Amino acid sequence: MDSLAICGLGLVALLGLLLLRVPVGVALGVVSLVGIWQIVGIRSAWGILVAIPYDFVARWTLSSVPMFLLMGFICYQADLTRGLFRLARAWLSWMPGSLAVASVGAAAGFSAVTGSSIACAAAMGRIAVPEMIKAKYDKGLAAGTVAAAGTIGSMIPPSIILLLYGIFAELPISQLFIAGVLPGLLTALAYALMIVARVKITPSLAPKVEVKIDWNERIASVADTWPVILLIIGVFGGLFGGVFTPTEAGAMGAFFSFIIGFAKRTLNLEKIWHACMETLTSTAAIFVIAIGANLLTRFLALGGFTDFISTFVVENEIGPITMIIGTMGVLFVLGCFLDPIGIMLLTLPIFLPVVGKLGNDLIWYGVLMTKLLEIGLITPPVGLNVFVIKGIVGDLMRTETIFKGIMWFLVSDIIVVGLMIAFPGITLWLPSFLQ
Amino acid sequence: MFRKSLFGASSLLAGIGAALVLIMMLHVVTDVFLRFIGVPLRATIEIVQAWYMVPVAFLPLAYVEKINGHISVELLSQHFTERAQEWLIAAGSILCALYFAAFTWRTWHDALGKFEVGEMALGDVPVMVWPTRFFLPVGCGLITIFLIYKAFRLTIGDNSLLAKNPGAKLIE
Repeated sequence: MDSLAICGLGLVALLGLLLLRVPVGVALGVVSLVGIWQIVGIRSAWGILVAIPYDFVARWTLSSVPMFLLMGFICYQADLTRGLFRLARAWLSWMPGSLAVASVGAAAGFSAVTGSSIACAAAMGRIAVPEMIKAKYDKGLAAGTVAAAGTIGSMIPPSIILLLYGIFAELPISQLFIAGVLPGLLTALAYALMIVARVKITPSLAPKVEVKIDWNERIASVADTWPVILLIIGVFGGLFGGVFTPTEAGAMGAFFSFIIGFAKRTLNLEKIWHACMETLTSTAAIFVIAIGANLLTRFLALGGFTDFISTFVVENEIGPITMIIGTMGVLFVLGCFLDPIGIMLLTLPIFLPVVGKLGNDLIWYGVLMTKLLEIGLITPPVGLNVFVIKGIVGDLMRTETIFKGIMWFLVSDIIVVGLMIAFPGITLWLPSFLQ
Repeated sequence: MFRKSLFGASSLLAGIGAALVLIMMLHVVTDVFLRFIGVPLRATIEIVQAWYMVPVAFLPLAYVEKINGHISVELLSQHFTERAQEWLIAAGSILCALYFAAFTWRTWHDALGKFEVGEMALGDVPVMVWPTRFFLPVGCGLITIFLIYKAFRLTIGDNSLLAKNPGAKLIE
């Protein structure tokens, strides 16, 4: 059998194993090892088995993953979102649908300390959904807002998805991180405008909150939140200014989140231990998949599949933009069913060489891909952010109600993706200052 | 008795890993602070790579399996009957066990080789790294045993190992 056929067979087997509920990392690894064995012999497969896991993990760049995860989990355990929500509510109270708009604003703020969308949705959900329900907001709007706003978590730095992408694509992390800022803010702005427009048209969606918020409350809310704002400025100022490496930025961020949590008395030893355990298990679960994806990259390269796809794309004169839109379509469909990190690591070995070969900017592609993966967190039937919110609201509303509430956010997202493709400057303007 | 020691060992290795996450953070922060006053620590990069990253990645493998934290796709299988799902997971666990057993076997021999030559990482000062090679067979070995035990329990109709940990899904 020629090696290309082995690759094709391998990819079919991979799909089958995934559907049979084999863990993603193991499915990737088993298929790749058997494939490499068939193509170049068992000695190579045995050799790769020794070299890959240690060499892949024992890398300085990869150590930024647990550090940024730790920072996010500490902030989550220390309940730092509460202050951000209070701040956003105090300053945005004059807007129609102010609580929903404030949830989006607070989520954007929390995104700057956490690299995880699901953590972002969970943190906002605990605080904002009860407030909106109390104010008699439409249930779909209340839950949909928080589930969608959570997706900003992986756009605005830090972002675990962009970190892993940067490691696989060998791109500078600081450039990728800063590239996510404007698309993240644009997403927040699009959500906010859409909420305001919908409430203007149908005021019953979000009855006006009667409580008057005066300037004292506004100033108090800033006084309550300034340490977190300082933390964000310090961590990213240091990272983008070239003072910290990503690992150092994450470690400093985690350390100062500790200090803030202790000063506010919202952290205790038990919560710190939880944060460390969550960091550990998340890191290990991600690395198992990443090692499998690394094996798949080698398998597909050895079998000539990567070259085959590139040649196919070039010979059929598929243009860079067509290619981008095509891959976005694939990511959108996969996003309806799989989790983001799994999709990214499954598709990168196939997409990355081609997208690069066609001359697309890989930083632009990485941020676009992240946006699509984030959309996948709120699309039915498997929308992890929606399930997280459902877990928080319990029997108060049905899963379908939340998905229905998501619909308008999806429309905003598609507009944002369109703008990002039409105007690459939205993504690439900020990184141009770092070069 | 066997179950208890298996769970205990998984939690112990995870506990070591979690402590190392914290120590890694403090080590890096200390290095940054000392750099500002002009006396940075030596070989931070080599120590982080070998002595923190390797155990953090491999020691908790069995514990992640215990809390069912390894990411899989439940799209198709969720429509199966409960018993069929259990058989499916048992078969999948055997496949996973084979995968990790292969790693255990190969990395164990690799670690012995590195022990014999006394492997060092060469940065600004040499750092002894051969012991960190043993984290792989230890972590992979324990998850292999855990997976075989899980498959065995499932085939005899005990599904108590499938309980989801509600906190395990907070990534991405």
